[in-house]
Amino acid sequence: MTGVDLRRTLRWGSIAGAVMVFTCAVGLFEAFEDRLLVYPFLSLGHVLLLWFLPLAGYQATNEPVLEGMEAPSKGLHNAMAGLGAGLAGGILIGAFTVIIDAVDVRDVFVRLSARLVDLLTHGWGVPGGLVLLVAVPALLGMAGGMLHLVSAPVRRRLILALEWALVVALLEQVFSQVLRQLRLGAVGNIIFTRRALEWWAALAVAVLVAVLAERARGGIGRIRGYLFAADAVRRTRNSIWSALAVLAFLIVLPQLLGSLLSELLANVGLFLLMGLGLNIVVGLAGMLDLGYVAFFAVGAYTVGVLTSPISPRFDVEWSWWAALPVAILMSVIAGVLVGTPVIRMRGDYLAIVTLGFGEIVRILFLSDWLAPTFGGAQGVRNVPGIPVGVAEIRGSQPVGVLYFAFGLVLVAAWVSWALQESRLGRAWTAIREDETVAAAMGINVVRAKLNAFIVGAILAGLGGALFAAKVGSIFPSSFELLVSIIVLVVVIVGGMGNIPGVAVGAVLLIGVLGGPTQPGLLAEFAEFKLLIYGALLVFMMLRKPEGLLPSVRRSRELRGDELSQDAWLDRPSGGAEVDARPAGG
Amino acid sequence: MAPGRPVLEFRSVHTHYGPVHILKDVSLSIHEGQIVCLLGGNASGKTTTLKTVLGMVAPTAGEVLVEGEVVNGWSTAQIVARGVSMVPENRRLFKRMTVKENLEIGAYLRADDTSTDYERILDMFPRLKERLGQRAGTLSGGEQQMVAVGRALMARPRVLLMDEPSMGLAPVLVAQNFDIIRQINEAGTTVFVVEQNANMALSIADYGYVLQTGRIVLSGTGRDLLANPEMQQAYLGEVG
Repeated sequence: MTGVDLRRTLRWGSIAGAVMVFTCAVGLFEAFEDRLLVYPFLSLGHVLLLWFLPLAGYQATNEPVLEGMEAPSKGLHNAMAGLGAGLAGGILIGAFTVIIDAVDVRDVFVRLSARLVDLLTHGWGVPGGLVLLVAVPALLGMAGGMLHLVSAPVRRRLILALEWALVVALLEQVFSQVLRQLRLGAVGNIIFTRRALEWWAALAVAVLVAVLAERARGGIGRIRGYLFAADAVRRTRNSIWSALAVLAFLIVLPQLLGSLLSELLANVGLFLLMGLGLNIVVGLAGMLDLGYVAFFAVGAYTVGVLTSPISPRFDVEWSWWAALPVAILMSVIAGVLVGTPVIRMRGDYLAIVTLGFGEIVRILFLSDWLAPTFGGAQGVRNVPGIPVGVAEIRGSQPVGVLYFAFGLVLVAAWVSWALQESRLGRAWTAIREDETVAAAMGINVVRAKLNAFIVGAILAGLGGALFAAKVGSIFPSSFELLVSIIVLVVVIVGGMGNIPGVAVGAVLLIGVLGGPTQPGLLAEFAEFKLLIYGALLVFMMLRKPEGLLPSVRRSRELRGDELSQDAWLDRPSGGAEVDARPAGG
Repeated sequence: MAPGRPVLEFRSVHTHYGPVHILKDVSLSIHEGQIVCLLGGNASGKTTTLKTVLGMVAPTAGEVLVEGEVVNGWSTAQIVARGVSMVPENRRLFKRMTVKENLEIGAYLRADDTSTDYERILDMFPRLKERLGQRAGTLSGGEQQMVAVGRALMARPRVLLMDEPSMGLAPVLVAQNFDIIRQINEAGTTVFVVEQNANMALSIADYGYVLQTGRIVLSGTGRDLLANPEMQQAYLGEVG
């Protein structure tokens, strides 16, 4: 058949097959098979199993069209290639099913059970259900291939509509909560049945999104034009206005969200606070610190032992505000103690040593030696909340915690921004670029790096202090290595060195997926959280190493460079280098 | 040119990297207003000499003096503040920072107003005016050299150290570079050039030293050294 690239088709088909086999093998399909998204027919498990097939079908004939090339003709071959890819994927998952039905591999792969075979074959057993198991992927692949037959704007609308219908169904909890807060709970009861979106409601969402898509695109374009106006003065003014708008939004938001979602956002605030601190260490000063959780622990424990009425050693029962300066001081001391020996190391060595220090701190808090002060494995309990006026901010009132966390984040963001623009910030940039030359320019490299370490430690200590008051009890197990890693992932995914980027990273990772022990919007995925984190990190490293929201200044510079590099084209001929000869002399 | 008082001086300096003896009894002096060059092949100790001046390598014996003051044991920042700045080998700009930011870093230790220095540097290198907002890594080799020199001059140094200014540049740019050195010298800056390109360096130098495996083997005025057959021989012996 003309136009079908067999190798390409088979490649995408086998990738799709591998995705399906993987989804089954890690248990994602089985775990969510009975979680309905669209009532009564579509489950989350099926979406996770089959989502890649339309994509593979589309990719099977998706050749990049370069300038000067003829756009490839559209037609039957697109659909056939999609069908082929889907069929290949279907045959793979079919063969996989036959194998796990015949051979018992449960000793090694616990998820590959008889129940899985049953679910995959729709209860029809191996020979009968296989038809379905091959046919459905093939048809989905063909649907993906047929996307080539519609024009690009229509395609975009279709995809967007599908995505939104799925997102609304997946975030049923959020939407029904917000509807309840808006006194529209009845609407929520009608469109959501048994935690799933009614099929007609899903269709309505899709149609609505498809109709409004273009308008929304225009709106986003206008907002972008407004925020990144070419004129510097207007840009500054516009960004102040938009910051105020965001602030107003943040003040109203908790009222809309109710306590459960406020709790999620409070966690976002907590991790954002730490992310901003780590961003200074990693993003600005360029030191890969994997033991960041140590300072978080120091802040939390300091506040804990000074405020708790049943603190193992101290019975001072200070208020949170009195303990805060001590917590910050202890963080600074910890920063100096950890920083001084490690700061002369670079790159991988620094990462390994800080990793070790992070673990040492956790083990010290756990140890019998310090148990008379920090309670060992029992930790410190009954940590009181934060007294503000007559009220007290504590974990049982997440809205208050949320406001308080927002306040701290604003302070931290302002500090980060001010430091970034300061002389010290410039020194950090220079050190990140070329440490030796920075030293030769008279920058005290050791002191500048130590300062970054200390500022990072203070923000983490602040986070710890907030954490202690929020959760009310502190155990060494709250300060695992995983916390350091997740804060680092927040910074990397968001965009290293960029404050709004860190915010985006925190909302996406902590808010949607959840923190190390904190649930996110998709709490159902808790079991697979680390898998998703890992996949996301690999994807980011391959596709967008600069993060989701790299700093505007940098991208501006990059574009400016391209323009000025092309500028020589316009220059009159005659040795550019001769002009460079300094006049006079 | 009549030599003024010494701005930079080495008195019997020895340095070691661990057990390896690098500089052996090196004595030299750079007087105010001079261009002095230090010649030598690979591994002769040229770069170690510069690192010793900046306090990045500590001398194991002997004294380093800046403006008549012993600076042994001082930090790099202190020595830079005393009036020593360097144009590193291969320019080594902060490539992802703009030209302007590079110049600002050069004036890192200065608390006073630097606007006249900007003007002076931009007068000297008019090409940089249109490049101020551009990232340094995207400039041509010649322009990068201007930024590297400008960055060092922003500190208003008493003595400017230049590490192999001809390295990695096309011959036409090398000549231009030495023009720049002469020009900043005429504007009143003392220059200490470390070079492999002996002919080029000696043609502009007031005084030259030849370093061979860590020892000063020859010294004299630029003209004398150029004419000295022993110099040619020693130098070639080093390279070959």
